Amino acid sequence: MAVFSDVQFTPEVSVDALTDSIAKLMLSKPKGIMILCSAQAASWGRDFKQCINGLDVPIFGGVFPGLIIDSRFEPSGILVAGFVSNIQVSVVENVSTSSPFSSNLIPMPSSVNSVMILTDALSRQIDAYLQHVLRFVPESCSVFGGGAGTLEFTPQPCLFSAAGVHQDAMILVEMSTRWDLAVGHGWEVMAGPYLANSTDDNCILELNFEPAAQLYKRVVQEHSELHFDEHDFFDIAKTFPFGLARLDDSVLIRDPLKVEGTGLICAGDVPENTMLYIMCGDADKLILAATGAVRKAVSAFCDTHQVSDCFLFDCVSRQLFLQDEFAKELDLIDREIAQPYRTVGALVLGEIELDQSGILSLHNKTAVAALAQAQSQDAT
Amino acid sequence: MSEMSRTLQIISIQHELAMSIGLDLNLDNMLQLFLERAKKRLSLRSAVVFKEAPRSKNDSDLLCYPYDHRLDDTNDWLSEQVYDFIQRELTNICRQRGDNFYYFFKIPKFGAISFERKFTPIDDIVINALLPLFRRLAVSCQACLEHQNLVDEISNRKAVEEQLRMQTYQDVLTGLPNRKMLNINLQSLLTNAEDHGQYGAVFFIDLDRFKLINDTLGHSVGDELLINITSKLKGCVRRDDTLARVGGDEFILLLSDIGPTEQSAVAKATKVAEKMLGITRDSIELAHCAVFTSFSIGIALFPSPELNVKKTIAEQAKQLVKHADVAMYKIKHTSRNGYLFYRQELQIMSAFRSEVEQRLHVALREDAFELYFQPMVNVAGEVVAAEALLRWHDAKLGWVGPQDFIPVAEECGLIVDIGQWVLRQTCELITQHLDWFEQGTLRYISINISPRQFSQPHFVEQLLEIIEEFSFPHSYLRLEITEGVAMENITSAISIMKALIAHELFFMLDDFGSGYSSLSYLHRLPLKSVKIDRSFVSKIDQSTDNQVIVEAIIYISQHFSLECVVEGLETPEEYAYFHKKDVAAIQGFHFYKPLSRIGLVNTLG
Repeated sequence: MAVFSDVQFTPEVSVDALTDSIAKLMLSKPKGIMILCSAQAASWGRDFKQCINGLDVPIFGGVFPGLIIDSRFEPSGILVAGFVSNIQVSVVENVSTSSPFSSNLIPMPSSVNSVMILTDALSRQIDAYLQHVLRFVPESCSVFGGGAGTLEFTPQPCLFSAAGVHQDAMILVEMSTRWDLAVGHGWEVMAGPYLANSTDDNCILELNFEPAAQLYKRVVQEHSELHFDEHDFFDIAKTFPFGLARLDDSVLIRDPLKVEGTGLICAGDVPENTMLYIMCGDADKLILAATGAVRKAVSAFCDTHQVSDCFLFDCVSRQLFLQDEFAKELDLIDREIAQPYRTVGALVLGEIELDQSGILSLHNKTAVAALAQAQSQDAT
Repeated sequence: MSEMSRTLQIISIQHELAMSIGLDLNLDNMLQLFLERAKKRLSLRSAVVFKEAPRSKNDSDLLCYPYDHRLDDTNDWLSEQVYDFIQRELTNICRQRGDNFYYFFKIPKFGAISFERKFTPIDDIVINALLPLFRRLAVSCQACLEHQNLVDEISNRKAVEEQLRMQTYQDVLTGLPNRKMLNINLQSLLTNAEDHGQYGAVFFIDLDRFKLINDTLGHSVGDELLINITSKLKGCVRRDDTLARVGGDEFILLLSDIGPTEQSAVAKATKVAEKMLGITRDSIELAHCAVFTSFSIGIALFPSPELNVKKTIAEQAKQLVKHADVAMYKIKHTSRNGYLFYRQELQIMSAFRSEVEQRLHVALREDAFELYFQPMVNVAGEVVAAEALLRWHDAKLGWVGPQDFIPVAEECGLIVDIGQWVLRQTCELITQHLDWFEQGTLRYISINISPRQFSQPHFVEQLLEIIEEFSFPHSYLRLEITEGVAMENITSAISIMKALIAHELFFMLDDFGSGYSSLSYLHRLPLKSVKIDRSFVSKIDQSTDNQVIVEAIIYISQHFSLECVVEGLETPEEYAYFHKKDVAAIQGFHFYKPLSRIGLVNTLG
């Protein structure tokens, strides 16, 4: 049985268009609504609240740099999806300024099989909150999601709930549906390791006791023959992310976004004294990694149960890097999802995944696909 | 991954985890940092620290951090495993439970730690690299515990110091600063006042009639009133202003920054004073009763040219409080329920008062007082009695009126000795002229008993002792008390009066109508006579209001079988009014001014 009661997409980004889409969606009698919008929706404010007034189902969503529907990437538009089963939405406010321990989270019931997390990508302490959330999640629960916001990287409201729009917040969506995760990035070690001997949350200050920007630029220039003097920093850096080596040989990717002083600002925290690699990749390997992970997950399903709908949180910088090839990645992933099931998702600023070892991580430049296990209509 | 990279990776993990130990002196925070980092870098599902060697397999105090570790049966299983592990001479051990691998490590002299990994075990090489970390973790745990002990010790010491400080600088009943604290704050204000270019003010606030409330309603009501008043006074001032309790019913308020000019400061201080007086406009509601009270407030502004800048700050502070006190004293002894700003004239008056007090001592010692007697007449104008009145001519001050020296004597306590002097002199006169009484020329001579005299612990005994020195029927002497004396403590007053009445000593209520004028106590007090206050007598022929009051007093007196005496009668018209009234005696200038002893002798022949 499908997870989504219906999916509506419109390229027009306006409150009226949202109202129309929701009206159409309501015909499917959803028990919850997800609203994914492109950047123009960040300024809706109170209009959004008025638009959803009177709806008596849980609502959540966010503003993202792009939307994914089936095999298509849509840079602009509104995507609304209804849920067949009940969902529970909660909002954690003031993520940057409040201690995670002061949040009023309560342990989730064991009937919760998965939790989707949408977070303001520009909030600080995201990782600390993710680790805190993990304490309240039941055993064997899957956790996935992504960072909301726009490519302008300016603080603004970017999350939706029935209470309105939110900034510097985190939205938790509890679901009874079981989702299996497929995660892949395809980046390979180019140079390193380097010791991040001095960091400040998401800023790498020093690598190997040398100013981080200086070392990074030198290494990239040596390997690529590209010169930072001649290009915008991110134009080169998006091709050479950092990789945090983990004990199981997996590598957590961190995008260096910009130079600040002599340090490098990354999308996601970099703990002090971690070992970093500088990574490189090519389109084929990246696409292969993402689609391969999905294919592997789907085939692992086959013996026990059927795959239905798919959530796809793909990193916006993969789209920026892959450009036209990105459509190929989406197409290959969507091919794994049998008709009439749907793939919906967004380009995100940081991907959230709870891996099999029980580690909840914020990735960069990675594709996180959540594959629903087909469920009966009466599941709650 | 190459051998070299693997080695580097392990070294980096070891380094990273080592560097994450001891980053905080709070044990929980320190462990949290380490465990979170270990979980991430070692891909652990959970990491838990257990404190001390467990006492039993199900020791609920075993868990150390995090406190909210999964509350399922895993905890019990973990506790059992830790218990077994601690008993063994091993530094580490691995246990498998389902898909999960649990690694236990000893933290020397502290406890143990468990790492949980799902699906894949941790390589031995990594385990070996971790072992040195736990010795380091043990040292940090010990350091945190010792730090916590130190923090607790300091906190306890600070709490004791704070308690001592409060005891030293705070009034226990109201929680307000006491005089010591007030002096510190005032000196600080004075030090900064000049630099700020702003005026400040000291309010000396006295609660009127507090003693009466305390004595009649009890100390618990008095205390309740003070707490209630404190709360209301606080509501009149700003958070930073100092309101202190400096005596039983005395408060001092320090106001700072109330204006750049004297005029603006006066305006601001006036506003605050009026707000305070507003508190007592209605009755103060207490738990079991409502009481009426009021404030007498003296205000002194600073900086002031009257503060001698050559004095130390401490002396200036003292002087400033004295100024406010002088102003309060003045308002209390004139109208009460008001405020008065200190002026230099008040200080002069205060200085005069001090001198009067000084000279009173001399007068008593040198017998410089003199008794005058004002005859009382019946409606026909015939002398029937006399009132003894004290007069004082001081060698230095000249004639000092009773209105100037009686309050001073009352306040400084000399009134008791003076009263005894008056009593003795009057007894002596009566003894020398018993014939006046025996022949019916005089019925009695009255003397005034002051409030302080009346409230002396052995008033009755001392009075009788003096009278017994002389030999005359006690009824020849009468004692005049005011309404205030009786009302201070009516139960005690009745008891004292009855004790003296038993010795044929009778009481007259002086100035009736000027004070409380409560008819209920008029009924209760064992009086012989009431003296209608002079304010009702003056120009009674022109005031129908006073006539109504006087008629009522005469009627009530008759009803209670009290003699009615009129005082302060000065004109023929006033006499004409009383001529046919049923009054026992009339006293006033119209008939006689107070006469010297010789004058009285001559008058009575």
